[in-house]
Amino acid sequence: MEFDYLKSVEIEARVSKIRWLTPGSATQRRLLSCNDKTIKLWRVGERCQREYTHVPGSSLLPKIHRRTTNTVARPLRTFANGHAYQINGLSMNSDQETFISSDDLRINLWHTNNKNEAFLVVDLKPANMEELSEVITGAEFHPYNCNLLMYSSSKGLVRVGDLREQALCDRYAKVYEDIEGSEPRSFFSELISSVSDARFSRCGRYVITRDYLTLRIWDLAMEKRPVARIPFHDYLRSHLSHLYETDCIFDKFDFAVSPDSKFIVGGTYHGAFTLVPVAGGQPLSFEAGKPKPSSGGFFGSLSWGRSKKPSAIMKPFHFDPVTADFTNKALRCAWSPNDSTFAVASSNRVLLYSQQSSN
Amino acid sequence: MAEAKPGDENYPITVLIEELKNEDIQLRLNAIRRLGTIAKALGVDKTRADLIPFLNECLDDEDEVLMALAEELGNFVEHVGGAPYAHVLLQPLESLAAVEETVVRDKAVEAILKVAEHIPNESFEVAFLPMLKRLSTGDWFTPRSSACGLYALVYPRISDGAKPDLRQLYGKLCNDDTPMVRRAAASNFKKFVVTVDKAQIKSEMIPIFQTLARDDQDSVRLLAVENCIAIASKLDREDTVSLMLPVVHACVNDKSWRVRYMVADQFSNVCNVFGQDIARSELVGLFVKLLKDSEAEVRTAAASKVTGVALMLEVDTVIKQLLPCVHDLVTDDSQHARASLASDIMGLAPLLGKDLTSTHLLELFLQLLKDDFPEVRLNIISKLDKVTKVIGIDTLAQHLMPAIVELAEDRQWRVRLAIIDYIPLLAAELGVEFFNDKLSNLCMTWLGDSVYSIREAATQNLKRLTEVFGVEWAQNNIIPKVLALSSHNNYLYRMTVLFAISVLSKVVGPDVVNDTMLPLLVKMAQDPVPNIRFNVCKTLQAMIPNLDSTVVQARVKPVLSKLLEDKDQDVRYFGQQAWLMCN
Repeated sequence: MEFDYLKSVEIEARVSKIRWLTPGSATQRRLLSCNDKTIKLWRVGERCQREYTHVPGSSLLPKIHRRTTNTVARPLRTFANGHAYQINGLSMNSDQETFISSDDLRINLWHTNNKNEAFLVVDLKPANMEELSEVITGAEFHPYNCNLLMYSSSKGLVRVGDLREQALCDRYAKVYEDIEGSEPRSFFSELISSVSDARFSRCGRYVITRDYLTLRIWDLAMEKRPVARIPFHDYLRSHLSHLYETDCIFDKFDFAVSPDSKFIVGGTYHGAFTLVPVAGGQPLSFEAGKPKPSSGGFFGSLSWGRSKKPSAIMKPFHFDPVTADFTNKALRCAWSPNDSTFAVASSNRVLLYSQQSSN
Repeated sequence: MAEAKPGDENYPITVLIEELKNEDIQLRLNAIRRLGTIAKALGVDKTRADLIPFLNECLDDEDEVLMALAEELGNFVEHVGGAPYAHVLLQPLESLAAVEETVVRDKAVEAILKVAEHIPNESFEVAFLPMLKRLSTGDWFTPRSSACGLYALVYPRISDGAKPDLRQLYGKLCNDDTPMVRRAAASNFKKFVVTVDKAQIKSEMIPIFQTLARDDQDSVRLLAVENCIAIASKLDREDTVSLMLPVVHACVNDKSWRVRYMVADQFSNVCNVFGQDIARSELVGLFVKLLKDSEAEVRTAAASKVTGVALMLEVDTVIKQLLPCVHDLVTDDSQHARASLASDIMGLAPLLGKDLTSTHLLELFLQLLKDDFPEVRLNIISKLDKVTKVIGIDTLAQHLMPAIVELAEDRQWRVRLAIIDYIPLLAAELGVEFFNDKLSNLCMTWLGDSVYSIREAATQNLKRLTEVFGVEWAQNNIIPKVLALSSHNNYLYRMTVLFAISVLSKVVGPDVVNDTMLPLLVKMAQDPVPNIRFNVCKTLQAMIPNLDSTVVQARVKPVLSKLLEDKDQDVRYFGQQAWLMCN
């Protein structure tokens, strides 16, 4: 727990983002992590315990044997003091050496080998803070174009900037705004339009965003409207005042995309999650099952795709406003980059699911 | 653990070896740094047979330890028995060149290069070629990156028969999947290519270079210019124009400002390597484009190269093509572009000569001298001598004063500090009368600045002025004013006098010291403030080496003897220190 002396605010030790670096080796990988203010580069890998044996009379130097292997994480570098506001985005560049970090108003460009310098690439701070109407909610680099970066905003907009154009990218190259599909003006419309997660697709042609109620898929070539608008848990729409009173309306849910880009998974309340087929079709919602005692509790399996019958553990989820547990929020999920395994975090558990081969 | 006791001849080494195994990283580091000692004690045979294999097993340690190890191994040739055995060091170094952390790999490559110097030519190929091939084809990106740094060394020393393979391998590295390897290959390209024969450069290296120059990754592309310059230095004029000039064109027109920045930064070198004719016919147009670039960083880099490029052009071209851009840069939005221009533009004066400088450049200098941004003004002042040699000081003098005064009174102390630095230069240019008239008051005001660094710089300034104008001048102009400060109410001003005396005593000569300074010091030894009194001691201590011993005995010691019994303990302490110097 740190204390920011300038603002008299405690900085929690809570890690908000983790990003893996590529490439790695068989025994070592590096990753970036951040809390609200500081980013750290770690090495994670196997560490051998050495054992030395002396053979008296033969040599002064011992022989070394490798024994226990355990996995250790070692901090390599700390990138501190780059942000005046809470960090909300962290993303590695395709050059595998530089990365960006974003907070409410600014985006910094760092090099993994240099903890003392960062370059400001986007600065949204207005000259007069009272004019502030929009903040950054996340940022990501394009998967293979080293010069493109995308950042999402509290107004539901996505901007793409080109680092080649200028040293300071305030003037974005493109902005994606869903004017037709935007929320009708209401007390809550601004709050629920804020983008809680935005990512490039693996192929780099699309950007997928999630705000409180809707998933949108944007084609980078078309700024005027998304190619798909997928209501996520639209049944919450009639409960917005309750959600506002309980502060739930400020929850930031993220999402994850399958490696073949056919499915998107995202969490909702009651510890449930929804699988959305990208090409269209009925989204399937499931309650995170109760752990099976024998398997140590954390693995479930789900059969989906070809057969719509879920396995015994997975309960389909139907929202019931009376019994729904709004304190159990599945805010975070992630999909393995190589296979059909995905993870959903719900209350104090992480649940892993993978596709069964046939049913 | 082998039994060893303090009496044993092996004891020191066993202790060191224990440290090598210790969990505490500081102890391991310590031991690694003393590896030479261990090796000497073991002797060359045992070092080769026992120590090196042991070290080979130690390569999974912390980065700091590995860095130190790489460094030690670079100096280990004598410990393993000299040149015939130097190659045994390559085994651990090869492994170190493949580890994850860049700084360790860099040290390992450095060490390999050092060891290579000792390996005789006959055994070089056998020792190095297989290792280089292994590194270049390693599974992970790290050995492949490190390999790039070794080609320039290895290639010239191997047999001609082995060279085609190596060139091909390097080409593969330039096309590697991993951007980091391509980047290492691109940045080492310029060192490697100059070792290759012209014919092969044309047939093999240039195509490789062209793919690098078109790489997707900006960080690879921006290394193209330096490589271009290296290649051009090996080709003849015709080939340079047909093969390299298009690359320069492409870089100047690149979408990424970073690539354009690199060209701008290297533009003088580009002009030099392509030669005057090309510079005049083609390159000047490209340079103008860079001076007008949309990105301020590019304009800033280009602005610093104006003189360098102008040197290759005809005066007429400079006036017709470069000066309009320079004109625009004087009022550029970016203060960094203006500052960069200011530090370079003065160099045009000798080129254009007196009349043209007066007509075309003078107004630009004056405008920059009035810039809002202090660094711009400072940069003009710093290069003043280039201009005054051409058009004399008078025209500038009247404009200089307001600029200097404004800088001298700037709110930011670092700006005030910077202008003080230039005062001796200006004094030399402007001459004694001008100085006495206008600048000397300024120099005295600085002695009383609220910031210590300014007061200190001001005293150093007085010393340098004395060196410029001579002792007599100092005696008549500075010393009286400095000494007058000694009776100021505020003790900080009185302190400044002491520092000034300490500094000036070195340059004013014994008469002034004996007649004016020492009496003052005697008086200040009775100052009511203890800080003053002990600084008198310190000043005397600094002066004693330059004083005649009779003077020391007759005049310094009496003062000090009183201070030895001062009621303040710091005064007594410094008095003691000074007293010791007297004897």
